[in-house]
Amino acid sequence: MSSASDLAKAQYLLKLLGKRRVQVTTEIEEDSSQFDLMIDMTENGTNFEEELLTATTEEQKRTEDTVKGIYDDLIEEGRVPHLLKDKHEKYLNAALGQLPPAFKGLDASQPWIYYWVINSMKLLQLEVSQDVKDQTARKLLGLQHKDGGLGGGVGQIGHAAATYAGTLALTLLEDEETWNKINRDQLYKWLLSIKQDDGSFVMHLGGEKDTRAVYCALVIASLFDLLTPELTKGTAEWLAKCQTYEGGFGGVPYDEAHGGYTFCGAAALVILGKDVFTKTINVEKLVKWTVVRQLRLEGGFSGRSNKLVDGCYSFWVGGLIPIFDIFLDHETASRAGLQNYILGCCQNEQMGGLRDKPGKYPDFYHTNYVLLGLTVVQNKFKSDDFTPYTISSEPSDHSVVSVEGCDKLDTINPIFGLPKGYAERFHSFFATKTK
Amino acid sequence: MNVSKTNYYSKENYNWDDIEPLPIDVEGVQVSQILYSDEYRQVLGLLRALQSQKEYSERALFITQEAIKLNAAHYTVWQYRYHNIIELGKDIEEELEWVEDIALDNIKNYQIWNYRQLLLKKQETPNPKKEFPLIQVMLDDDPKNYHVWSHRKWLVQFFNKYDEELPFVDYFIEHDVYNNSAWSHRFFTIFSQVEKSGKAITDEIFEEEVEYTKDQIKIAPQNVSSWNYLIGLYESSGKELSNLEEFVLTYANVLNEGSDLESLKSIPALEILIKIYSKSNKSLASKGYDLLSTKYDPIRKNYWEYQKKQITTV
Repeated sequence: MSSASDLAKAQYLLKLLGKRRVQVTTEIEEDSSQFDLMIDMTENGTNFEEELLTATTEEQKRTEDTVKGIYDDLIEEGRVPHLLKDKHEKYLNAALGQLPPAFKGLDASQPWIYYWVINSMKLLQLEVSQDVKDQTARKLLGLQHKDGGLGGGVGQIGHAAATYAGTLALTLLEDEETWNKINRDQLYKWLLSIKQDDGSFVMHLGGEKDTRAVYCALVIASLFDLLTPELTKGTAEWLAKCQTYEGGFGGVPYDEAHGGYTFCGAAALVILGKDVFTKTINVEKLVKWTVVRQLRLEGGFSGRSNKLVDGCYSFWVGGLIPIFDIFLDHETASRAGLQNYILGCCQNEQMGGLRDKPGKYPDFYHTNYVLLGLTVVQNKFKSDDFTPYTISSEPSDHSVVSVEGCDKLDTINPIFGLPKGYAERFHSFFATKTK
Repeated sequence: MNVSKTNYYSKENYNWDDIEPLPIDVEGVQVSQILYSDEYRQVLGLLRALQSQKEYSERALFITQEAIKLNAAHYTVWQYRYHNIIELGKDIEEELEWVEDIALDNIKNYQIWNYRQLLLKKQETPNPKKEFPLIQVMLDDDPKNYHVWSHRKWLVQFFNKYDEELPFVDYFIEHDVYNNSAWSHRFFTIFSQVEKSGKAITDEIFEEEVEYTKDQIKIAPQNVSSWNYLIGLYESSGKELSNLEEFVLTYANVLNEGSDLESLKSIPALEILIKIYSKSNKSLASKGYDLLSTKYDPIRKNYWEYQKKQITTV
C-alpha cells in the first residue's frame, strides 16, 4: 500500500466517521484489501494521461469517469460491493420462461440460451428443476440435424457453435439417457465434413472459418471422446498462425488479436494435448497481451488494444488466467482488480443479471461470462499432467484476492467454461463407450 | 421493414398452395422458447418446407429475402439463398448489390461477409472495384469493426491487390492513432507480402516503417498500438531491440542514478528499455520491474514480478 492511498483512505474514513460510523467499522474490516485496492485504482488509474484527444481516448475517458463515479460512491459509503445472488436468480428464472418476439435475433443461436442460463444457475448453485431439464433435453435433441451436428433452431443445419453450446448444455443435464440419443457416429462424420485441408474448421458447410470454429469443434470432439489424429491433423499449426505480433489470437491468420478468439485459440491448444500449448505458440507474448488487456482504473478487461472494458472479457480474457496458473505457476493478471470491476460495475441492481459495463442492459451472454470470470477470480487452478480433464482448483489465497463467503460461486473447468465435474463426467461416459 | 402479410404469403406474388409451412419449434417445449410473431413463423416455416424438399426456385429465393430481412443472423437462410442463386444461374453481380443494401442495414452482422466471399469465388471475373468502396463506408461509420477489416484482408489476398492498403491505413491512423485495427492491417499489409515473397523484409521498407511508427509514437507516447507495432516490426524482421535504446530513453529515462522518477512518459518505452537492460545490466532491469509493479503500473504487479523472476533466475 502506498502512503498516498493510505492518506486517501484515512481522509475518506474521517469524512465518514460523522455519518456512518457503524457501517464503516463493520464493513471495511470485513474486506479491507479489496477496499484499499479500489482506492488505489481510482487514484492511480487513468489509462491515458495527458494524451491526444481522439475517438478512442474520448470514449475511454467517458468510461473511466463512469466507473470512477461508481467506485467513489462505494468508497464514500465505506463498503465493497457484493454479488446480488437473489436478483440474479430472479433474472435467470425469467429467462426460463417464454421469450418475447424481440428475441428472434437469437433464433439461430438457441442452444446458447440453454447453456448461458443453466450454466449461470449452476455457477450460482441454484436448483434446476426436473421439468426444465426434461424440456431442455427434448429441445436439444430436437435440434439434431439429419446431416449431423446441432442447428441453432429446428430444421437449421449443423453449426459448430450451436453444437458446442448444445453439448455444454447436455453435460449440465446429467442425463445419460439423453446423452445416448445423440448420434455420435454421425457427429464424427459431420465434424470431419467441416474440417479444412489447412487444419482449421468452418462453422458449417459453406460457413466461415475461424479460431472459434476450431475451439468449438475440438470441445465437441473432446467431450464425446472423438478426438482422433485424423480430425486434428494440422490444427495446432493453423492455430499458431493465428497468434499475432501482439501476442493474442485473431480469427484467422493476420487478423487483429481479440479476446474471444484468443481464449478459443489457447484453450483449443490445451485440448490438443499436454505439450502442444507450450510448444506451438509464443506463451510469453500471449501472457503479456493478456495482462495488458486489464485496465488500470476499471480493473476489468478489454478485448483488444485500445478498446473499452467489457464484462464478457472477464472470461474470454480472464479465462486465460487459469491456463497460466497451470502452465506458469505464477499469478499474472490481477484477480482482485477484476473482482472489483465485476462486483462493482457489472451487476444490474434493479432487475438482476450481469452486463458489459455500467449503462448497458444485462443479457444472458454477459450473465454467464461475467459469472465465469468471477469464479476464475475466486479459484487458483492446477493440473498435474496439463490435460483438460485433470484440472483442479483451490480457493484463491487471501493475499491474492479477498473473497467473501456470500459472493462464492462454484468452481469450474476453465477449458470448457463449465462448473467442475460436468465435462469430466460427460467425457468419461463416452470414453467408456469407446473402449 | 415493410413486409406485410399479403406481400409474401399471398397468391398474388407466388403460389404456395402446394406447400405447408413446417414448424420451427419443438412441440411441448416452453422453456426459453422464443415467442415468434405470426409473420416470422410463417416465413421461416415456409422456408424450412421449401428447403427440406430441396426446392430451388424464384419463390424460394423470394422467401429467403423475406427471412433475411426478419433475421440477418440466420445462417441457414443465407446458405439456402446461396444454393438458390447458384442453381438458378442468377447474376452474381446483381446479388452482390442486393447484399450491399443488407450489409449497410446490419453493420455488425458477419454472415454477410462470408456470403460475399462465396459469391466472389463463384464469379468468373470478380471485380474488386465494387468491394472496396463498401468497406470504406462501413469503416467510416465504425472504424474498428472487426469483421469488416477481416473481410478487407480477405479481399486484398483474393485479388492480390495491395497497392491501396498503406494509404488506406494511414487515413484511419490519421483520424485516430489509437485504432488498433488499422495498425493490425498495416502489419498484415507489410508482412503477408513478405511471407508470400519468401524473402526477408527489405531494409528500406523496415526503416520506413520504423520511422513512420516513431512519428506516431511522438504524437501519443502511451499508445500501446504503435509500440506493439514497433516491437512486432523488430521481432518479425529479426532485428535487435537494443537499437531502440536511444529512442526509448527519450520517454523513459528513469532508471539511471539520479534520474527523475516523475519524468516517465511511456510505460511501453520503459518496458523495452528493461528488456534491453535485462541482457546488459540486470540490476537496472530489476529496478525497472520494481518501479513498474510499485509505482507506474501496479495493476500488473503480479506480471512485473513474474518478469523480474524470469531475468533473475536465468
